[in-house]
Amino acid sequence: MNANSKTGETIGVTVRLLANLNTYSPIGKECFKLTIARQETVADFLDRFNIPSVLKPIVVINGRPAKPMTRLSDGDSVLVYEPVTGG
Amino acid sequence: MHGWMGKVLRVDLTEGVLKEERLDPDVARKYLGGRGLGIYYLNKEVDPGCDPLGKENLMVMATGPLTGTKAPTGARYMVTTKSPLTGAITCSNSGGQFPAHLKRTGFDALLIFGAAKKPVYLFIDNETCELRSADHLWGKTTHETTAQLLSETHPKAKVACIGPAAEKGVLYATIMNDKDRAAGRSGVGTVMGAKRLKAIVVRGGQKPAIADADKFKDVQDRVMGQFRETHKDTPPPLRVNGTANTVAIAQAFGVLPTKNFQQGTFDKWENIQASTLRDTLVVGNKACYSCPIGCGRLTKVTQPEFAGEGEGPEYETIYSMGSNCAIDNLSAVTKANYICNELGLDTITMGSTVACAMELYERGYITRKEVGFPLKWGDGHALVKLTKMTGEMKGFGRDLALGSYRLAQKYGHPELAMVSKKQEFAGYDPRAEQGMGLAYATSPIGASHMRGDPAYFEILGIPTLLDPLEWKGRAKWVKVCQDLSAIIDASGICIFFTMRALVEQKMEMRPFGIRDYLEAVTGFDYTIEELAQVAERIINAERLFLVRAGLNRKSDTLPHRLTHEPIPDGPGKGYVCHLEEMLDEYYKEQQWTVNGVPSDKKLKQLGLT
Ligand code: SF4
Repeated sequence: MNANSKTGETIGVTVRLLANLNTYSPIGKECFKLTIARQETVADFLDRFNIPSVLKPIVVINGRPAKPMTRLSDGDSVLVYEPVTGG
Repeated sequence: MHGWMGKVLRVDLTEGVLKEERLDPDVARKYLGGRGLGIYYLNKEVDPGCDPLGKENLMVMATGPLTGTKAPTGARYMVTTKSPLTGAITCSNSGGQFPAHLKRTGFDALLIFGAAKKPVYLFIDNETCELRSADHLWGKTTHETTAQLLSETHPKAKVACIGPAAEKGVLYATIMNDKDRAAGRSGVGTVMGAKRLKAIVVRGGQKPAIADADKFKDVQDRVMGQFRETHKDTPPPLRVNGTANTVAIAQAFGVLPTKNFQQGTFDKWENIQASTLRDTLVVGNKACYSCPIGCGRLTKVTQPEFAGEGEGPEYETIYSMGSNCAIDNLSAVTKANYICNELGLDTITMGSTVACAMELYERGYITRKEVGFPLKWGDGHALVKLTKMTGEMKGFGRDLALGSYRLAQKYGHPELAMVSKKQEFAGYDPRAEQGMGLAYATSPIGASHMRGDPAYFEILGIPTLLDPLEWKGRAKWVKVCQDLSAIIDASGICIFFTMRALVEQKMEMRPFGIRDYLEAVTGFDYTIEELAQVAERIINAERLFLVRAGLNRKSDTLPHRLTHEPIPDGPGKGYVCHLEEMLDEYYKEQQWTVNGVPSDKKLKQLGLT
């Protein structure tokens, strides 16, 4: 939550850019909070990080796979990662 | 032959006789190598009803046609035998340097029969093979054994050996190669211990012949070119984070097993995730033979009571010894991992058995009297102590050495053992990852993520991300995944590289890249259809072994907790695993009977009758 979210213009989300993707973190850290426009789509959200499309980033919101047109909500927890092997 | 060396070594430990045999090119074409050759020889030579720890059991160590070539990650071998933990077949995979050097001795596989009267080790120096006394090595750790063998054979030789856990009969002992790489699961080391074979030392100078060097170069340039292009700005995630990368993903999807699968999320997960490991314990990374990734973690623990240096932990260890025991101290988990490596214990079964004991303790079914001290969730000191006691078969460690199925049974609560076919799960709760439940239940070796891993498409995003809570139609993709793993395991390459770089990124996951390498290396004009047949041949041959050993649908199970008790947390909250529904679909996909037995038609089609 943030001040503006009460007015309905923006929302707050928690973002984690995993492993090599934290190179694209705006603050250089893997996990950070972000204020974004209400109704922002996953596609728009991803654009802001300039992650090369060759890395095919995956977006998971609150533990559920998200599609490019999925809209983010206030308080969402967003995990972004390159499709990855291992386990 | 090209790709294969064309020979296998038959080792009769009872008589102390070693004999070379020709590898039949037709068998090689039909089964490839590794896991394929393993089941071929097991079905041919072993009574599936045999005592896994008796002389009659056979242990096959086999490389694949791509092992030891320059194909990326051509580093793997498989150990196939009848498992003392599960009573089913097992095939366990390992990388490092040993497998490529085993192949360079000129043998594609070692067939190890019988049991020696006194401890021995097998030394293969190019084509000179001999059994030598291992009296002086018996009782030594895997690290001590490796160091001693390198000094008495050749400093550049490669060693695979067992530790004290295998000698003492812990049911889930490993075979460790290059010190810290493990053929880890289902007690392959226990079988080697029962044979009183302490180690195999190899030194080889022969390179596998490549059928078409120009074609090989073309494939290599294309595959490695794509790999370099993808990672030109950032390194591969596995190099950055190792397999611990999966902690954050499993937590997000609510599949991170916690407190013996009582929960799917761990509130202290950030203390055991990859970036914490990286920032606190990792001192470097390590690659297997011919691997462009290098996912191995070199670590150093400085916390005095857990101090040490070594390799690991991997994701599976972090789950089994961490979240599954509610332990958030990575130093304790890493120390327990080091002990497993040195004593030769499977970290997955070890951690999960401690988790099972912790739940038995929580519920009052075992007490301080049996354990010798309090056993509470989250106690890293207890984990380390119990791991050592198990490897040394001391005190309560003797009970833990049985694995969670027999432990829970012994104390009257088999329902608390989180196993399929008596083997502990990998780090994914199948209530929130449905396909994984089916894969656990139908894996020929008991619960495993390595004989077909739906986590790729259910949480990791390869080739794409499907809804992990959906079970309808899932059987088809689980079979696709299992077939693919059979090809990877039989070719001698690593699944981590292969899944993204050598497999089409569509749900059909056809292995075009593997096909290209196999054709260039072996000279056989493999098609995708022929490889699909090879995969089905391996999986049906394994299933036949199981059926003959008395296993069928009744053995393709999950514990009551996972099929009847809804998961209490995470995005899958309220779900159980819909195994029975998926099983019906799955047997149809396999063309097996409703009882899980391969149909005559299928067997005929695959040449298995
Ligand atoms: S990806 Fe990891 S396990 Fe696989 S071959 Fe490379 S270093 Fe070994």
